[in-house]
Amino acid sequence: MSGTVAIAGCPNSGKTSLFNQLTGAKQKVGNWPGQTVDRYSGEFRSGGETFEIVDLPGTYGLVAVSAEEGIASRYLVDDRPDVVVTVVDASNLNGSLHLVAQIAEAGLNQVVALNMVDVADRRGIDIDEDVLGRALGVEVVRTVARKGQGTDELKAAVARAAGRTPTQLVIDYGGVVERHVGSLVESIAVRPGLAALGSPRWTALQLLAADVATRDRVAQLPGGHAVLEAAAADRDGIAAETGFEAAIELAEHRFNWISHLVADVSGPIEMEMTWSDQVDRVLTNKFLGIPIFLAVMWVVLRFTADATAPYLDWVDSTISGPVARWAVALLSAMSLDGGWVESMVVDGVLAGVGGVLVFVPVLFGLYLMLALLEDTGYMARAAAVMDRSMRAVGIPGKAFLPMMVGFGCTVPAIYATRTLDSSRDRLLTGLITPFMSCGARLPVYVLLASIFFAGDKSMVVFAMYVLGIAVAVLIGFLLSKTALREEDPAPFVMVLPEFRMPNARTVWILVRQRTASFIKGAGTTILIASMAVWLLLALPVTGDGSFADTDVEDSAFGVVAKGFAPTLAPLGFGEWEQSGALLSGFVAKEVVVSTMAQLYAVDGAVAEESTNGFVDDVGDIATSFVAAGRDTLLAIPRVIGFDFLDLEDESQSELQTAVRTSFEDSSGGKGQLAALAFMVFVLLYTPCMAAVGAFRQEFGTRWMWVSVLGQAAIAWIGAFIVFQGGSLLGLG
Amino acid sequence: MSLIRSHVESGDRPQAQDRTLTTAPRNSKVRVARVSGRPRLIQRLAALGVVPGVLLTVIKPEGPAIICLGGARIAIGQTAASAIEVEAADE
Repeated sequence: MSGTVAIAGCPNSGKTSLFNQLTGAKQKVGNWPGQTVDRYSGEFRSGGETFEIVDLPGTYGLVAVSAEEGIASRYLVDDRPDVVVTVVDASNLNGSLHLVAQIAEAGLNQVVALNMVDVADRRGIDIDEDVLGRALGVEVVRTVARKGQGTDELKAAVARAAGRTPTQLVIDYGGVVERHVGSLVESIAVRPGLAALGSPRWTALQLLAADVATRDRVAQLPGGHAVLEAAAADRDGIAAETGFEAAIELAEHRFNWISHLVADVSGPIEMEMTWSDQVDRVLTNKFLGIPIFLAVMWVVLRFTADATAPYLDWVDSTISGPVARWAVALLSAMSLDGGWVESMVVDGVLAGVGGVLVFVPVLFGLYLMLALLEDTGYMARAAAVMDRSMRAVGIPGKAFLPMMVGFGCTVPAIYATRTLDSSRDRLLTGLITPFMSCGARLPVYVLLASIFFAGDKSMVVFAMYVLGIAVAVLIGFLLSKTALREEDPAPFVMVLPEFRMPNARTVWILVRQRTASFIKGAGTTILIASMAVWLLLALPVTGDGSFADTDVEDSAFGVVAKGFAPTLAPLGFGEWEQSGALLSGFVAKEVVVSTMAQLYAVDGAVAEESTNGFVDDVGDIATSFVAAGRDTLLAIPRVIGFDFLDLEDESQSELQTAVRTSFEDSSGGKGQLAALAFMVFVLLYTPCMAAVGAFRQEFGTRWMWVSVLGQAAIAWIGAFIVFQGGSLLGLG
Repeated sequence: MSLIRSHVESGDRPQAQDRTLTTAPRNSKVRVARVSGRPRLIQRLAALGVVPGVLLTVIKPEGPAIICLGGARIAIGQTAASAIEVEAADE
C-alpha cells in the first residue's frame, strides 16, 4: 500500500458513483469509529502503485452540523490522507466549491473531480478547469462518473498528487475577521501541544465557525481550554463589531470569494426555470405532495410484497423440501438418521438457515425499490414533503419510509432507517417501526377475528393496523420529549438532486451490498435463536420422553410457556397453549397460528413423504424457480390493485372450535375481549427474532434489549387496558 | 453575480426588513438580508451559501420552500425558511 486517498463531496455530487468506478466491485464495508455509519473502502492501482481509498460521508462543508458530518472533517484533520479527491457537481459550482475551498484552506493535498460535466454542458455552463485549478492550487479532472468517463485520468492525477507538497489556500476574510484570526493563530502557535492539529490558521477558522469536531479535538490537547476561551472571545468580538455571527461572516466572505471565482471560470450562470422546477412544485405541493408520496409508497410496498412472494415461497419450499430430504439422506448414509441429530439438523439448523434466506427475496425487492427512489432523486422530494407534519410529532420526515415498509416486514424496515440523516433519528425510527403491523401478524388477526368477530372481521383487522400507527406515533412523540430529546434539531435544508434515469451499476452495487450485509449481520442472531428454540422443544423436562422425542407439553418449551402463562392471566389469556403460541411468535409471527394448531393437537397432517430422487429434486427446484419468475411478472400488474385486506377463509373449523373454547375458558367467559387483547399483544410485542437480529446489527446490543423489553411491556399494558378496561365497561 | 460583487465592494449591507422567504412571491429574485436562528440552522444555511447579500430566485416560497442559488435547487423547511429575511432585488 503506497498511499491513502479519501473521496469527499456534497451529497448527490456523484461521489458514490465515482468511488464505485475507482474501486470496481471489490469494496470493504465497515463502520466509522463510534458511529453506525457505513465506512466503504477499496483499492485501485495507478502509476505502478496501489492506493487505499476511503469514501467519506457526503457533506456540504467541513463545519459539522450533525455527528455524521463531523466524520469527514475529523478524518481529514486527524488521519491526513495522502490525497483528497473532492467531487464537484459541475452543474452547481457555487454550491460545490465551498467544500473544495475549505479542504484547500486546511492545506490538504487535493485533486478536484469536476463531475457531471455532461449535465453542465447541456445547461450551457462552460467551465475553464485550468483557471479553476490555478486559483485553488490543485489539479482539476473532468469526469462523468456514471458513464465511467475520466476515471483513468483521475487515477493518474492522484498518483501525480501523492508526492506533491500541498499549498494552503488563503482567503481574505476582511479586516475585522482577519484581526481576530491573527490573534487566535498566535495563541494556538505558542502552545506546542496543539501542533498536532496542523495548520494553525485552519484551526482558528474552524474554531471561529464554532465547529464542534474541532472544538472537541482541541479540548483534549494540552493548552486547549485556553485556546477555546480565546476563540469564544474572538467570536463575540466579531459579532459585536460586524453585527453578524462569526460563522456567517466567514461563510459570507468565502462565498463571495467563490462567486468571483465561478464568474471567472464559467461566466455568469443564468437562473432559468426548467421543467423540473415545475415538477418539483407539483411533487412538493402543500396539498398534492402527501397523496403523491402515499401513491409511490403503495407501489413500493406492493412490489416488495407481491413481486417477491413467489421467490419467498420458492426458497421456503426448496429448503423444507428437497434440501431437508438431502440432509436426511446424507445423515442416513452416515447412520445418523432418525435420532436427535436429524432433528437438530432439520428443525434447528435448516429451519434457522431458512429463516434467514426466506427474507432475502423481500429485502432484495425492497432495496431495489429504495435504490431506484434514491437514484432518480424522488427520495429527497419525499423527505421535503413529509418533514413538517412528522416533525410536529417529534418524528423526522424521512421516518415515514421505514414506517411504511414496516407494514410489509419489520426486518427491511429496520434497515431502511439507514436512509435517515443522524444516528438519533435512525434510533428513534428503529424503536417505533416494529409497532407498524407487518404482514406476518395478519393471519393471527384473521384467525381470531373470524372466530370472535365474524360480522366485523375487516373492521377489527383494520383497527389493529390503525392502533399500530397510533402507538408508533405516541412512542415516537414520548421518546422525542424524553430519552431522545434534541435541544437544537437539525433544520430541514437540502440540495435537491437533479431528476435522472437510475444507473443500473449504482443500483446493483447498493442492492447487493445491503442484501449481503443482512445475511452476514442478522443471520447469526436468527440462527442462534432458531437453535435455542429447537433445544427448548427437544429437552424433556417432565413426562417420559427422551431428548428430541418428547411431547411439547413436557418439553422445556412447555415448561417455559407454563412458567410465564400466569403473567398473562390478567390479560385474559393465561393458558399455557396461548403463552406457548406467543413464545413461538417471538421466533416468527408466521408460526403463531401453526403453533396453536400444534398445541391444540388438531393438525394431524404429517409432512408428505417424497420418493423423488436427487435428479428429480434438482429438476423441481429449477422448474419452480422459473415458475416463481413467471408469478412475479404476473404479480406486477396487481401491484397497483387494492386487495390489501384480502382475507382468505380457509377451513379451520376444528382449530376454531378449540381456540374459542380455550379463550372462553382463560377469560372467564369473556372470549371476545380476551381475543382482542391477544391481538393487541401480538401487534405490539417483538415482531420476530429476525427483526431483533436486524435491530442489534443496526443499533447495538444495549438498545436491542431496550427495544425487546420495551415492546413486551407496552404489549402487556396495551392488552391489559383492552381486557380489564373492557371488563370494567361491561363489554365482552 | 455582479450585484453581489458591487454590494460587497461598496461595503454596505442590506438592511433587515420584516419579510421572510415564506412571503416572497413565486419566481421573484430576492436578496438575503439576514439569517437568524439556532447555530445549527445558521451553519447549515451558510454551508450552502445562503448568507447575507446573496441573490436567490424563489421557485416556491413555502410548504417547503424551494430556491435556486447559483444553479442549484435547495429545499428549505418551514422553520428554516421563516428564519431567512429577504428583500426584493432590483434588476
